[in-house]
Amino acid sequence: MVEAQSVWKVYQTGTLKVEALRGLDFKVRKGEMVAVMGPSGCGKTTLLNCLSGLDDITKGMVAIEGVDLASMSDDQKSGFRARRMGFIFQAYNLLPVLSAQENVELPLLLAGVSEAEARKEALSALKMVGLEEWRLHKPMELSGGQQQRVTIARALVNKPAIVWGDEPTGNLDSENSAEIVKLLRSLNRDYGLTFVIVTHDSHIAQETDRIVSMRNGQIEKETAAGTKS
Amino acid sequence: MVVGLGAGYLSYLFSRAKPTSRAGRYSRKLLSFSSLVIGLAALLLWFGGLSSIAGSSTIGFEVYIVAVLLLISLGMMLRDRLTLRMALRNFTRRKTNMALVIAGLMIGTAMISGSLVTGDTLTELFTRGAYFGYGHADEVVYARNSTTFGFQGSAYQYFGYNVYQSLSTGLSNYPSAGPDVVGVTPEIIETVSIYDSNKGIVQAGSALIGSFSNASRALGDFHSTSGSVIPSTFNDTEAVLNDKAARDLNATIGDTVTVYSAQRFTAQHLNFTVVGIAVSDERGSFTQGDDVFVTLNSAQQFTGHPNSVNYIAITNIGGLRGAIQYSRTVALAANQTLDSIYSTTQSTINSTSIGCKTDISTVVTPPAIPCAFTEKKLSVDNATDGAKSLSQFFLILSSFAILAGIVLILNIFIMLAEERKSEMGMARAVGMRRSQLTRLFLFEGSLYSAGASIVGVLVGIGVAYAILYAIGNIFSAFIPSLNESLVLSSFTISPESLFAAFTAGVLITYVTILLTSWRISKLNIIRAIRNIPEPPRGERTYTLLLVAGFAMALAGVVVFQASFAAKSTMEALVGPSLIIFGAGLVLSRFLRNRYAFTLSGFALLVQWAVPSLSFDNPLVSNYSFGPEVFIVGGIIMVVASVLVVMYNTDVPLKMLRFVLRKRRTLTAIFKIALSYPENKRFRTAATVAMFALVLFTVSAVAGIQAELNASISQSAKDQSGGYDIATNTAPIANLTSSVMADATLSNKVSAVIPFTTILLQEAHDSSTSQDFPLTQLVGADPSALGADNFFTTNSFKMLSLATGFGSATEVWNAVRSNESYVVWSVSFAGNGHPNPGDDLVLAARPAGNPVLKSVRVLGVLRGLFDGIIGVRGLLKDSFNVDSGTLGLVNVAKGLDPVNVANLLKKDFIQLGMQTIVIEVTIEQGQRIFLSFFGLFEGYLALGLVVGVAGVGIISIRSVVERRNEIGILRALGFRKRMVLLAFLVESSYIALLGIIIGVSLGVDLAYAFTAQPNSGLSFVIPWTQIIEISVASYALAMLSVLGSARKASKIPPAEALRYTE
Ligand SMILES: Nc1ncnc2c1ncn2[C@@H]1O[C@H](COP(=O)(O)OP(=O)(O)OP(=O)(O)O)[C@@H](O)[C@H]1O
Ligand SMILES: [Mg+2]
Repeated sequence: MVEAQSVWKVYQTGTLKVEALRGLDFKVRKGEMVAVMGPSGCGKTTLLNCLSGLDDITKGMVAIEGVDLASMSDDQKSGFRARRMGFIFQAYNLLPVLSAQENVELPLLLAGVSEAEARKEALSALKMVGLEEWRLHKPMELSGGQQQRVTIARALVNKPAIVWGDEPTGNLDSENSAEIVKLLRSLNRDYGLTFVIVTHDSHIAQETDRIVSMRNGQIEKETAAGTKS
Repeated sequence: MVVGLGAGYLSYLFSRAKPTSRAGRYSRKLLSFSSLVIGLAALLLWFGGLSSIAGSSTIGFEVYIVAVLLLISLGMMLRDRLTLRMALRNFTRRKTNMALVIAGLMIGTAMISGSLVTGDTLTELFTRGAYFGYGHADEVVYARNSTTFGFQGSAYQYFGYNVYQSLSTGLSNYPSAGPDVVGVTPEIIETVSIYDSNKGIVQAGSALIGSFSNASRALGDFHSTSGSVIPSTFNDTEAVLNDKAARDLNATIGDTVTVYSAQRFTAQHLNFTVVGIAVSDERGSFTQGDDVFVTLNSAQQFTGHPNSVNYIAITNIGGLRGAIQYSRTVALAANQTLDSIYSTTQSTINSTSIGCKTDISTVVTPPAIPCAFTEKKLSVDNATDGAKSLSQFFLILSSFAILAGIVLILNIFIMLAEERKSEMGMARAVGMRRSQLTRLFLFEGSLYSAGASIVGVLVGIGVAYAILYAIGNIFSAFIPSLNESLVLSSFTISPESLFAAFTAGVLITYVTILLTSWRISKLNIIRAIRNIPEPPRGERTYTLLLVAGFAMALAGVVVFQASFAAKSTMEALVGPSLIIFGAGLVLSRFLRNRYAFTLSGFALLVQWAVPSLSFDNPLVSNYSFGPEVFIVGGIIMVVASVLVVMYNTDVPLKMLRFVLRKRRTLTAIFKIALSYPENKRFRTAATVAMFALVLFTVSAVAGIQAELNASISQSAKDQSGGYDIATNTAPIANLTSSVMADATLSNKVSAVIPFTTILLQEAHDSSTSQDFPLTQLVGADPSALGADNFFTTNSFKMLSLATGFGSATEVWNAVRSNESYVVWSVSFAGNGHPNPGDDLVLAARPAGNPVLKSVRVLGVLRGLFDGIIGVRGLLKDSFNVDSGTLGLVNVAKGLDPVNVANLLKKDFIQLGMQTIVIEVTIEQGQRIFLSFFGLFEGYLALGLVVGVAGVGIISIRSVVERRNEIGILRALGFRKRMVLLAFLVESSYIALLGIIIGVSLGVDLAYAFTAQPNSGLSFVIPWTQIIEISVASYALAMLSVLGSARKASKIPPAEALRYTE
């Protein structure tokens, strides 16, 4: 599904050079749910951005579904994201001017689904996360957990092949976090979605198939997650 | 100022006291009011005495206020260095932003400065004509002749040379005025036709000016183009032409010119050899027309008045420009002398005085004896007034841009506040006081307002030069003797104007910023930190709105009530608007805002946009009406439209969605792009309003210009009364037979209508007690045959009729059959006139003795001259006048009136015939008038800068504001181009809304113009101009957005996502 070989990412800010990823190899299989853990600043977000094509890598190779990202134009990558990927970031990543439903509809419209169809599917996605009654509310009027569930609905609405999550529960209390993770896990099971999730929370990590620990831009170790595998 | 400084120092001392000490605590309390106290003290000081020292002009006061404001700000800045430093950093943080803000803010100042400098320049341009047209004839002495008068020059009565001698000695011995007088010059001035026999060209309506050779001592020398003096010691068969006459006659030195009188019907003429051509300086451009200067002796011989003159020029000390300050004293002294020479006193016989005016407090009534007039000063004053009123008009036009500028300031500062909300919240959380926050904005605002005012004043100079250039173009296109460089050379900048513009600019921006800063600082801290929008208004606010609404509606009722007594259109129309607006506010308590404001917005729109309810409302048909009504109406309409549109954004959105339903990606882009304006209502509304205001004015002016332009030929035809040529000759009893007897003309002319003419001393309206001095009375033959009968053939437009008369024909029939009935004619430029039905007492002194005659005005028509039209019998029986100078001529079908007019001039040179080809002249006048509209349009379009800057600033701000959201969009699969497109669509939506609202309202106003009764205009939409201006403003707006939109699209998605504000 996703394959990264000796990926380097170097940030050049003025005279300062930061090596965020240092010759990293990484593989995600289809239908797998992977957690990425590590101390702050070790390069988790950078890894996610590079794997999903949001950012360019400095050296190495990243391929998704067998296609080398380097061979794609910016527009092709955008199109690929629209069709095949879903993103769940920390809180505040909804468009504040659109209602919950409109936020969820957006990826469908981008993928060329008709408006009526988009509305229907957005509604069922919201139902899935238990928010159909809140569909007309703007993000500002929703709680953090609700916002995050809208984000999940948006990430999943176009049936992506792979979903990237950067601390999807970062702003939530433990109860809410657990609920979200349960939701993600069931989606992974029921629909066979591939998940790559960055998290600081070991409880959450334990829910996944595999935990990848990072340090200093490299993968330190990989462990199979405990309980349910 | 001293007190202000003292207070400043005191508060400075206090501020250094330890905050814990009692004095410190006290001082802090005091300090928060200190600026207010200083401001009040400064005001008191001004009214308490400074004003009497500095002069109590508004400009002085303005300068003072601005100085105090700046000093207070400066004092505050010095006291609070930390805030100042923060303000400075904010000011320079984003350069493009700063440039756009200043560009937007400076336009108002630029337009004020432009108008004022235009005033300076036009004053110079216009008064130059006045100064040179009289030269050193600072006061002039004459008595008008009542039976002859030309198109340009007046005809003067002759008086003995001894009058001049007595006046000269009398004046020099006069204690108060004697020292002010440099010279007294006797002259003869008579209207003549000149024929250059070498070139075969006739010039009618020229002035023959005869004077002694020593006249140049007081009046100045003639100069040739090379600059050398033309000796004035030429002999009786020689003459000097001024360069105007030389150009018209194509004359050169050595030519022989023949001079014919235009004031007496005589075969007598004189030949002169041209010995010099004088440039148009203070001596050579007397009367500003074509002059031929001869010796006094030949003038006396030519006019048949030996030992007489008809004109005396008095020259004061002080030079060409400085002399008029003595005019009043000298003229009064001269009049005293003249009264004693003629042994008359200023007595009043039946409201007609005989003597000269010797007391400035008396009303001017035309005298019977030669008197001194301060014509040069009057002419200079008129020119100054004309220039000032044109400049005032530009100022009025600026008001829209100034208003748009104020909206821009509001918008910018509210946006700045939003941008720094969390920053400010933090600042407050760590202990920054609210007053400090206000100050932060105030300091930054002062920097903006000072920067913008300075730039504005300088740009205004450029604007004024451009205006002058355009005026030069207009003038030189129509008046051959005026060329562009001559006009441009009068470009004048007075420091007073620059100062006034600067202070006005600072005041306007500063006050707006002051209010906005105060409002901003009241933001809730917690909400500010968490970046949560202000909550919806609660019950209390709505109750407040309810009360405000009632108050407003009540005020509306009062204003409307007052309009009946004041007969003021403004009050009659604004009153109902206030009621509607108040009702909207009251409704908002009970209905959803959307419905309440949509409803009142619509009601206001209907009230103003339907002409028969507003500008053409029968209720206001005879109320006072000024341009301010259009300005206020325009503003109300724009505000109402913006209200309606802002509360109904979903309607256009739905329509767009419907149109785009098959283009899904576009739907996504539009959805994103258009949801921002819907969510940021205030900034959207403000920007839409800016565009709408400017486009409204420009398209209204364009529309009115197009309508007037389309009507020029028709209205020239209407105003011509159906006649081709007007003639002016020496008084003659029967012009018709003379013209018909002319072999070359008999088959070229189809009608000749002669009038008998007299210049009345005055016409007194007994109904209104209004006096119309020096009014012309003309009489036509009521029983002339066919085409020669004025009463049956004229098609002049009656503006109003006396009660009991249904049509112009009825009026003319009545006038024709009754000597005591007349019609009043007002020219295009004329102003006052009696009302139909009024009785007039006509006063004249045809043979020295006063004659009075009562007549009734049956109608008022739009005609060729200002005066009274009756029958020949009225002039013959009452004033014993049976000849006249005015004639109307129709040419035979298919002939060019211009050619026939030239033939007439040549064949009747012995009558000194002057001709006016009526339609051509009227059309030309209207074209000059219309050319100014183009200028006004361009000037108004300057306001576009405000709107464009507004859109630009918003988009710069949006890119910063939405970085994170841009990242999300890109992660969701938005391509670069889609992000760019979303930004362009958003700005397009705002700009297009403004453009559409503005243009529609402008076209509507142009329509209201034609819908006025008697407008004589038909509705025209100037499509090309509207499309041009719309496309230009749209393109400019897009250009100002393009940069930031591209920047937005180029942000790498990972980068954008990292960003949290
Ligand atoms: N755009 C950038 N420019 C410069 N340096 C960057 C940039 N983005 C990340 N870095 C640096 O790269 C390193 C890795 O950053 P990254 O955001 O991937 O860490 P992280 O593991 O996600 O940390 P956290 O758990 O705190 O989110 C850090 O040292 C960071 O300073
Ligand atoms: Mg991170």
